[in-house]
Amino acid sequence: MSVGIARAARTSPAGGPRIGGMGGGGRPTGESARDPATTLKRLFGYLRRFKGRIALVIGCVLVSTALGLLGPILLGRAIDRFIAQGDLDGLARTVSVLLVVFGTAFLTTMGQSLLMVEIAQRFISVLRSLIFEHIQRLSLADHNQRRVGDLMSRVGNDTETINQTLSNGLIEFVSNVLLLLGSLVFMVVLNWQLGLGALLLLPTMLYITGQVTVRSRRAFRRVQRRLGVMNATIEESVTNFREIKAFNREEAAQEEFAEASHAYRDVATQAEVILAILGPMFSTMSVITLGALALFGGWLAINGHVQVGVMATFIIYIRNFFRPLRGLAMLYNQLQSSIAGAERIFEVLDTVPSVTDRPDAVSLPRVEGAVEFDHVHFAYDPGTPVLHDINLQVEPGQTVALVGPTGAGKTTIVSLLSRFLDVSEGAIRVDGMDLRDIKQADWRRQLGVVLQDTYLFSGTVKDNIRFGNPDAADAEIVEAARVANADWFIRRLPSGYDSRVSERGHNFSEGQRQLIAIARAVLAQPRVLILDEATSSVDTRTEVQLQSALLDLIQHRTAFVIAHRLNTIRNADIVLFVLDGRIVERGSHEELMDLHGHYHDLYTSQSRRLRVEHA
Amino acid sequence: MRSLARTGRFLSPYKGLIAGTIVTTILPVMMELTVPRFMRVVIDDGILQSDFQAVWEGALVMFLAAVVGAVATFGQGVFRARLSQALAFDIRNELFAKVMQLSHPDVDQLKTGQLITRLTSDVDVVRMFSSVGVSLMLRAALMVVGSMIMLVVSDVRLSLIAWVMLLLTGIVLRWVFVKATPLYAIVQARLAALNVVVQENLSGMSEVRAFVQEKAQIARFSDANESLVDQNIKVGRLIAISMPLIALFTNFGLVGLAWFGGSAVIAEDITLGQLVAFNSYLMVGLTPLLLLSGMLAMFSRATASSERIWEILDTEPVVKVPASSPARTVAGRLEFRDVDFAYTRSGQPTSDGLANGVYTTGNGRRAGEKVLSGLDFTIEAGQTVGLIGATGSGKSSLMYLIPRFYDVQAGSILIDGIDVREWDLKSLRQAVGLVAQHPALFNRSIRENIAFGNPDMHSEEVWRTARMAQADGFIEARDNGLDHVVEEAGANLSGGQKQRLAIARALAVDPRILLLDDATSSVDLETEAEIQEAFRDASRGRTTIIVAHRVTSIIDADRILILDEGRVVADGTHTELLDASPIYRELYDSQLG
Repeated sequence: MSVGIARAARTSPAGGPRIGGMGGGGRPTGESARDPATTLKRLFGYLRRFKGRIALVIGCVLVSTALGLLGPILLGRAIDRFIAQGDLDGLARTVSVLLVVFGTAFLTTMGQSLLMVEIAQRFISVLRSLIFEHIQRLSLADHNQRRVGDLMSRVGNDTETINQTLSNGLIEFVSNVLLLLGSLVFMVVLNWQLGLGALLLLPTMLYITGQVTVRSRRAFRRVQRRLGVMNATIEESVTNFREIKAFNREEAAQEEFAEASHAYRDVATQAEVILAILGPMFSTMSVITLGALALFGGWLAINGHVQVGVMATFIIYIRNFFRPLRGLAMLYNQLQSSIAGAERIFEVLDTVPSVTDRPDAVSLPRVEGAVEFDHVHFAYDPGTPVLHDINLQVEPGQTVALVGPTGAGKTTIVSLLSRFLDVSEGAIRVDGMDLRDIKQADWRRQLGVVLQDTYLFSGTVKDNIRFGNPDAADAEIVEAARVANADWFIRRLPSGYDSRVSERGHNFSEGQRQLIAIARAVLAQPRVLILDEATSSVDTRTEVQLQSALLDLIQHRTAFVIAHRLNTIRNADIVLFVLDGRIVERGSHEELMDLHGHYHDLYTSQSRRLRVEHA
Repeated sequence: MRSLARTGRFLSPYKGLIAGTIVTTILPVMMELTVPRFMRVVIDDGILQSDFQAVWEGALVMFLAAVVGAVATFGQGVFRARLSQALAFDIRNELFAKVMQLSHPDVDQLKTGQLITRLTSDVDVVRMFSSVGVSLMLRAALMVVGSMIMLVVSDVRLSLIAWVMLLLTGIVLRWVFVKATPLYAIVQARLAALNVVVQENLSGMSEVRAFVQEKAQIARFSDANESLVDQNIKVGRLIAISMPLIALFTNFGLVGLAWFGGSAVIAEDITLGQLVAFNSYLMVGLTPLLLLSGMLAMFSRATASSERIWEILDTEPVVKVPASSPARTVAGRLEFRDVDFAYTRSGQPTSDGLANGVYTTGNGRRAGEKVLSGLDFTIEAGQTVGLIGATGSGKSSLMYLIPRFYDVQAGSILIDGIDVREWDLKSLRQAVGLVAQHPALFNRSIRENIAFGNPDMHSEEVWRTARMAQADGFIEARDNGLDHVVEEAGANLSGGQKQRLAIARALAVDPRILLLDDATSSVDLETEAEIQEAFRDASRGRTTIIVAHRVTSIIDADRILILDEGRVVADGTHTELLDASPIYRELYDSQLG
């Protein structure tokens, strides 16, 4: 992936255990820092845009719940009052009323469900987009510590937990609250002593629910985290399929997956078991209450305070009281899984991009291409500098070649120029403007970058070439490909420019991928061009053919070229020899050769070796 | 549905858990039935008779029943959790193991995002169904059958109402199932498509940033997101209508009974008591129908997901493992006999591909177009061969045939005189050390990356191997040396460092055949020279093929092969080729002249 950012002296943020210890995301997250109430509030904040429809759902639930209660009462009346009395007319009337009641209940239930499906889906769609859009705002360095599979899990699985709670939760919540209040009122009206008695165990239940909730919340956090780790394990194994096969590591990969899968299974089972406590707890409490009431009511009845009939009705209502109570408690716990998911989502949303546009960033007109590095220092971590005091003046149209051993900091220099990273000290200026004062997009649009590893997106060859310039006409695409020496092999493909590119398939050799990337950069018509070992996998003959085209390309624009094959950079205006994060030699090819320094040694090593061979 | 039933076989190791689930499902129901009876005892024998003893006894029994019921219900929860999670665990592991057994031609067509979706989301759908669905459906079915029998026995004519309702419900349930299952298959496929977008976006992040394509990527994501949401809403609506509809049938059934039954009572055909009894049976029989309709979504969804799971499990790897082949050691004589090779499309199109219209047509190369043809040469054990050729001439493909990432179309490749297809695959791959052009590293320590194919190495060996690959220098420069963690996709390493780790990794398995596919392209010349120096020692006694673009990289080789459009056009030593091959001569001159 982000090969563009070679980070030589970077120390890993976590040298700890690979799995588990890093919390899937890579960054350790302290559980104590999270506050469920805040998370929930924030989550509800996003629901605000649906408030009209939510009000409608609540209205529907109120009506349908009321009608749901009314129906059986009417039916009972039909039997007691009309059938038993032989009143056919009365029966007919009640039956017609019932048809209306049930019909309306059908409509409102359907309405609430239809609305809710839409709300829940749109809501998580918004959340997913938010995460994805924020990921696009983050800079490259922010990503390297998160595993691709884990981020995918945040977009997919963590949003899904919210969907699951929301799609039924709201309806159940409203109807349960309604039923709970209704039965409570009814009980108190019926007999206030018994009514209060029914609340006897309420504090205990609330306490236990609270305890269970604390545990379920923790469990759900572990579940979502483990799911992320598992996702990351799959992603890595599939992406690195070739090396696993080559090194006979299928079983080891399976074991590693089984480990991640097992860890997930354990925490998921645990979470389910914790939830399973609630139901039985409530039914036990309900029976204890019933028993206590039977004793209490018995005593009341024996003393004549209450009628036996009232007792019987009461028993039914106790059940009606406990059922919604249990429902609410379950819902509350289900909500914890959403909170766990939301926390992981917000973790991404709260990551501050390390490179951002200043609020007063200005747009950048078409640049001439003068580039200046003014005492630039760079370090990923303070204390371990990667670049020291880089100074450079490049005139528009000049070509700068960066030479030096791997890990010296060449790629870091061009990453700073691309503003994938921001300088730690000093400044980089383009046409005299500090890069940090300019809108990133404006700058990059005038920048053409060809990286060492080329990533092709699924889609057609054409799509990939016009990646940076989606409006390009077909003729322009072909022209760019021709310049990049890619036209000939693309034409030989079964569907030519419309051939599909697959993710892992070997439909293009590495060299061909690089040529496509060059075509991509050619088409983008940049003012400043960066070629980071852009032709390392291209054979030398093709490279030579490419050379003239590249020279043409480079001619009118400022270019930064990193290459190990020195003959490709012989014509550069400025050659920089980079060693350990410093520019140690600078000048034209001839000047550096005369210097008899590092560059000279490097350049002559090939022919020197040859001469030795043939001696 | 057949694939869902097939998934049932994953349940077979868990007879104990299944038995436990059944017992703990029945027990609470029984206890629940006990409570009202003893409530009556409390009221009739206790309160009405002012007999406190009976009140106490009744209350005690109720309490005990409640405790037993609660414990059993909790037990049921535990059993269900363990059973369904174990089921999901086994399916997942089998799926993953299957993916690992597949060969390159099979996996080339699947996108990472699609595979992840199947291993996580689809498996989870099946798990949820197995946890809640099966027992509830069973219970519901039993209750419906039971009460239907009671209804027919009590009054055949009135039971007609029940039959009509049952029929209507059946029709609706079936209709929804038939409609919803394919819709859910599309939901899963679109979820996979969304995952693919995210995965590609993260993998190609540098390109996205460099070309300012954030907006285009967001648009791409939005499309995938919208189409997933639309599909979810579509199927969600179907379910949202079906449940109230069945409730409506149920309620209309009750109203119908009140009317027809009531008329019958008024006409004195039946007694009021019969009507009331009938009414209660109807209620008992109908409630589970509602439950069933609630399960329907889960059921259709699990059916769709099972199919997707079996699609993977049923894939036969294109590269077949020989039936029985003894583990052998390799000497390293490599023979290509009239080898033709083409990347062909293989396997069945997946449902993801079909549903999205993004099924990759195999490879960009003309389907069946030969990538390599008529390769016929022998490399003696211990020889070093340089392989040179234009971009796309088939060099990497040739390499990939040796460890059998792909199989030849025609002809054969022999190692020590035995066809690679007859070699024990493990022994074969153990003998081959591959350094790919853009090596993939793992998000773990440098030590683990080097010792990847040989995890038992101790530190000195790892260091020695690292030294051989000229990697020791930059490893030492890291704070924690070998324990330094390589970031995702090797982001904290330079291209040359990655290549050197990959070289060390290949040397670590002490391979008899070493394949270096442009292994030093990102390494500076000086380091390359040093690596080559080290290789001279390392490759002693190993058959080595070096793909390179620089003549200097292969100038020392015992032999050099030039590949052009899939054919060997020149074969000889450096000096021979300088005389005999104009292509080589030209190459040499252009690079060193």
